[in-house]
Amino acid sequence: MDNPKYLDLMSKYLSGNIDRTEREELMSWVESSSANQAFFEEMIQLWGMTGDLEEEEYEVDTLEAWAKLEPRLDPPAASPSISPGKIIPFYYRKSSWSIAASLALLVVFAWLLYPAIKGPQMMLVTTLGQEQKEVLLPDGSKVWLNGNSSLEYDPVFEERMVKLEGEAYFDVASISDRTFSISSGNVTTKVLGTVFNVRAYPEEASVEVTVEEGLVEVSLVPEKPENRSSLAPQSVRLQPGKSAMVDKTAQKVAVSEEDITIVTAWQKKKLIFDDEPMPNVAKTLERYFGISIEIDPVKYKDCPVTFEKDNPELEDVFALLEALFDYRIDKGDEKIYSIAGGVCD
Amino acid sequence: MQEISQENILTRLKSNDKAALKDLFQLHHAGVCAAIFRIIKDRNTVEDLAQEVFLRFWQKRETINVSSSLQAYLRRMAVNEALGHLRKKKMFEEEINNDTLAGAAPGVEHQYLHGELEEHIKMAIDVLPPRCRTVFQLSRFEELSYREIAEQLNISIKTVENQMGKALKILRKELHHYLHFFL
Repeated sequence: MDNPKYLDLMSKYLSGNIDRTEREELMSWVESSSANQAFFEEMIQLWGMTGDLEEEEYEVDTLEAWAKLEPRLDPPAASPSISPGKIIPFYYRKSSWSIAASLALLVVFAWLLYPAIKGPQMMLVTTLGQEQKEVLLPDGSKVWLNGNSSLEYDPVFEERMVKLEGEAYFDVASISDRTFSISSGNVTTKVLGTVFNVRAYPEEASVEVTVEEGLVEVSLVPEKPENRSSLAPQSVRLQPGKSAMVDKTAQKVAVSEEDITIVTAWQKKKLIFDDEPMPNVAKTLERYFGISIEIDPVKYKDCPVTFEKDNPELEDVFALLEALFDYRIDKGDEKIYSIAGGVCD
Repeated sequence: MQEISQENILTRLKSNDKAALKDLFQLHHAGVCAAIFRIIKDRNTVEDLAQEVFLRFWQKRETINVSSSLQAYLRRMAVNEALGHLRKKKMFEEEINNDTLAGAAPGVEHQYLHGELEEHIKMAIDVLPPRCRTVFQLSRFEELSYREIAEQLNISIKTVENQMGKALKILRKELHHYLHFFL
């Protein structure tokens, strides 16, 4: 584990200086033992931790500093722009009154600049209940925004950074060395260039990030400052097919395998079930149509469903299920359905 | 108030408008100082170097070509200025001899039992041997490639690799309490 060779490879991997051969070598070493695997994960976590470290704010009297700099801006006396014989020194010898005046001007400037310092004009894209929108970001990345969601970003896009509430599917353009980050509350998702889904509805108990392609780093900064001494920012790196669930109340991150086709069905506008147990099907339908389905998970666990449907409508899907299994699907209160009866072998 | 756009500032600078530099200074002076401070811990030096950054920016205003953002550009200038300063002081060359001592300064761990995590991370980085720390910071925070770091610090790429490995080894040791929190 302390083999310096792999430590070096690991450093290269984390800092983005690894090439393909080295990466393969590192990965096969990682996979060769669980101790190596643990070391690998620990280093990733370590790297994530140091990355969360914000640059210390530097307190400095900018007005004073400017007053020092300003006289140096003019070229020295020898400059051709000043005709010979002209008496320059007086220019520098400002009276205290004029210094005061220029300071006052600076204060006015600072005030005028305040909105610019405070933050630029942000772009906000929002969707209603069943609405979806496709957003093209200035860096070429594409975002599909699911219903009841909002996406906010600075149109200048100096930093590849967006804020998300709700659910979105990202196809992030790969620009070397420039990470793309998505913040949803205190959960941050960082990537270079990949395809993945983020579900972060404020009313839901967890934030879920699922990766379709590439590598994604998800980190959680503990919410309450008083917890910070006891809780490390947690971060995980996700590979395709993996999903990070961030439990908002427990402030914990868990990684699981997820079926990406189910997670991203809303974006592909397609339902695909391949021998899927009915309770999972119900879960997918809940998610897809934004409804709740009451179903006995034990009773129906051996009812496999297979079908594929583009642009599905809720009524059609239910009609199909009823026909297949003789279910009774009742519509209760708004958007709550229950499944009962039926047969399956 | 019109939003101050990057193009706007650059155009104004090119027509010798000092107020444009003033705008830029107001916006980015503290950030430039912070970037230098990360590398050089002496506040007087930091502020002198920050002045040089803006002065240099002003002097080359006519030829300046910013492809990314002004903020990123100034930041890069700030880092270069700091590294230039270190090179002048020959701090890296001198360090080579006693750099082989592995591990961080002893006894750091007990100093921060009661601090906050962020403080611990900061301290752990601060106690890295100076060259090792600079290499790590340039990679982690400035996102420079190994090659760029090697060029900036006048050292070989191999040395950059070694220093990075060493940095991570030390940080892992210093911060091991916080690792393994989940998974």
